[in-house]
Amino acid sequence: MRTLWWTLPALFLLTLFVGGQGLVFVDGLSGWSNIDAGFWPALWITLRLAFVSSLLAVMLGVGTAFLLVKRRSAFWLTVQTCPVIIPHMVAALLIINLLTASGLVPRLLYACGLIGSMRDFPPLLNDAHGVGMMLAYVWKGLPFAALVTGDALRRMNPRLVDSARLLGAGPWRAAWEVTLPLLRPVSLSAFLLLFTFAIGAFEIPFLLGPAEPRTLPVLIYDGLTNADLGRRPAALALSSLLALICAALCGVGQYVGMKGQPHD
Amino acid sequence: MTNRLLRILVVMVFLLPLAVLLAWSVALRWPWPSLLPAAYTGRWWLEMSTGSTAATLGASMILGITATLVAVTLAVPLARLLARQNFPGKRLMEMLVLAPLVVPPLSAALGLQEMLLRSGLSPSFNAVLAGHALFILPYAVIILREGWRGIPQELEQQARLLGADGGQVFRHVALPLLTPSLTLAAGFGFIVSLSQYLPTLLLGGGQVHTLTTLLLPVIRNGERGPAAALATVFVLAALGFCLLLNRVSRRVTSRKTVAS
Repeated sequence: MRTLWWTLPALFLLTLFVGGQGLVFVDGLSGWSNIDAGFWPALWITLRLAFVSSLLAVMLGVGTAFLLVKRRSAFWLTVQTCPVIIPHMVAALLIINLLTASGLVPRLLYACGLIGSMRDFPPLLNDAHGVGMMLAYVWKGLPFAALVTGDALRRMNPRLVDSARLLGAGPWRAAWEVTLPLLRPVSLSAFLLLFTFAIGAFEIPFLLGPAEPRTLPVLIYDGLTNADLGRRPAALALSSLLALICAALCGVGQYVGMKGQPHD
Repeated sequence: MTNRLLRILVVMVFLLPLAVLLAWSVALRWPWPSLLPAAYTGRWWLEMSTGSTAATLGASMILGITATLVAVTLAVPLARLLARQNFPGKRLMEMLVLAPLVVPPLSAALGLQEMLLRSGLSPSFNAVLAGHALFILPYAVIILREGWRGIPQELEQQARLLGADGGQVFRHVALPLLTPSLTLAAGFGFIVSLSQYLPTLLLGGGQVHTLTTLLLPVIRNGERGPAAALATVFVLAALGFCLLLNRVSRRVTSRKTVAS
């Protein structure tokens, strides 16, 4: 039991962290009556954006996992791992390089004769629909979803699909009725994880988002950096709310993930 | 055939943006509508490797290495406890470990800032260091817990029977077997530290500069060349980690095949 002492520094640091969240909650209590009018639109766009981009990332990710199920080389692992590790800030920069009016995509479209000038390309960055933000999230989230569902695919008992095929199901039907339902738990927990990260992300909406409506983290950040210090409590209150939403989502994700543990 | 085309598409989607980034980092002029830069330059790379930018990059590296060392050292015993022992409150401890991952970065950094200010300390390099170590800790514990699970307890017991004390067992039996996980945790930890933005900003009070605090304003100002050069560092770090991951996983697999 002497080794228990060695865990204390780490536990102390973690307790400080939780204590800090407690302080934010307490100091934010006076801010609840003073919430920014932009809160509801911010909450709405944050949830909508996170939902749509995570859903897209998981659906395309499952497709990619099917496509790459037999590819286990270092090259394919690297292609899939890199976007997961590259920070949000850089993902935003990549999207800017591709999709601004003078980005590579409009240049390619011009080269193909599909648009006549820069102005024909719709503004996809800092737009109210959040297309640029969504693409940045999908670029980062898709490979993550592909990696975890690909892992589950390879662990799956191949006899299940073989039996379905023997019973007369075509390859598409076997995938649809056997493989996909078995992938449901792992895709759901990947979705919840991406959803949680997207709700809390700051750099992507800060760089690619429209001036209005701002996402929740950007709204909080603006409240904190505002010259008017009276706006800090309201920002702290919203920060607590954001943390609570994310913690609850992770709790659900853990529960789903545990229920879906492969047992064969 | 379709599969092959689709796989090429996958590679394009992931590698084309990186290729464009690399091109911007050496482009002097890239006028509309040409598909390749009109003039090349080594200026952005040169600027990055001299003067204050180079100093900031160096500071980022030192911060990353130190925070990783601290976090991994603290994580080793905690990971062992979670891998080996069952005790009341274990679930709670696991939740505590995951807390810095679960709470979004802004809220997390804000909490640490409140803690710092309430305890009468001012923002500093050390505060940033502690913050980074804290955000590395969950990843390190998760990776090392798997590592500890892979070490048969019988080996340690045998060493003890042969007269080794706790420290010797750790140094000569556990540590060598833990090395792949330690390497992985350290590599990942370094990248986590390198990528932190808000914690650095809030705990450093705007005085501690790292790669991210340098890069974000540059992106926002639309300085394509300098932004691309700085961002390439992250891409290289990510590639380096992938290499590490491949090597470590291959070594672990070969050891497993020898053992069985």
